[in-house]
Amino acid sequence: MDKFLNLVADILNREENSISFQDDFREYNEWDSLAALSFLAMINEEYDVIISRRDFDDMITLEQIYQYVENQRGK
Amino acid sequence: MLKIKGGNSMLSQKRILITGSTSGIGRETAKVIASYGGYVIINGRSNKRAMELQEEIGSNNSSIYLFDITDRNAVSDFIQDCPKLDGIIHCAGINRIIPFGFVKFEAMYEMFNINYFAPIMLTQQIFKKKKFNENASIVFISSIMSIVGEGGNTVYAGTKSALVGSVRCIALELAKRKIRVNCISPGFIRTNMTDSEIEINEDETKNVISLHPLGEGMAKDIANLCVFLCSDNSRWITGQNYIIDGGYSIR
Repeated sequence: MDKFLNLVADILNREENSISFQDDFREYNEWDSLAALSFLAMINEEYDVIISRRDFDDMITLEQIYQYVENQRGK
Repeated sequence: MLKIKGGNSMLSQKRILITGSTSGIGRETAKVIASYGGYVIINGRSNKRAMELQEEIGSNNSSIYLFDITDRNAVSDFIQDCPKLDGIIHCAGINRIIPFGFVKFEAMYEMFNINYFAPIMLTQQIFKKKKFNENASIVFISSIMSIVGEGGNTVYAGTKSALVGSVRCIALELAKRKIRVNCISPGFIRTNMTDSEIEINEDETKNVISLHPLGEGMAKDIANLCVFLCSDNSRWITGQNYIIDGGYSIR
């Protein structure tokens, strides 16, 4: 879990302790369309999970993304 | 003697291979080329879509050669079989959005293979086997990413810029055979080129379209210039990169 937050912080170029699972990540100042693409690419690269854009757009918090990734990996 | 033709017969007696003509810009270009009297060689990988296209434009003015442009054996079989050509329009291509930090060699090779290596080598093989008629015209569909940048397009922009660079050199070498070589660089055109694992959503698409002062472009906007470049009306134009982007790049 820490690794996940680390990776997200890295993409957004934010301090790790400024990010938590309950955050609506689209509210971060650093969030933009390229951040979204990087986020999806990171999940593909690190977790070997492809999130469909529709599913991604429906999720609001980092926790939801993390749960989604864990569920997909369990399959 | 070169006869300049206009109107619906602008491309009569012109036999033109259009790669990737079973979808997107290629498909529309095939229809428009045929409407100006050109004979179209339809190419792609889907027999179903090729047949559908041929039904639309008629089998008198088209034939189908299905092959994957990256498959060297298939390409050489095609060149053995194919009649002499008056033009090629290279529309086959892919676009994968990959943020710079996530670029991998394999993905880079794949995109270069389809967008750059294959069309250049196909052209070379047709040339070497003397399958071009005099006054033939070769058109590569590049991209606006050959002159401006956008996040996520490191590799795609590389493949499309590479075409523009090579086109000038090929144009110089083929000029003495009276063969002309040009690029067209379209802005964003909505097609089903969604051959990407990372999808763009509707908001992002709208945002990109809003950056084009003339609004959304259509495949036909690109096809119309292909007609001109394949016709003898453009006989003194070679080695160029034409920007068709509804004003995207002029700011």
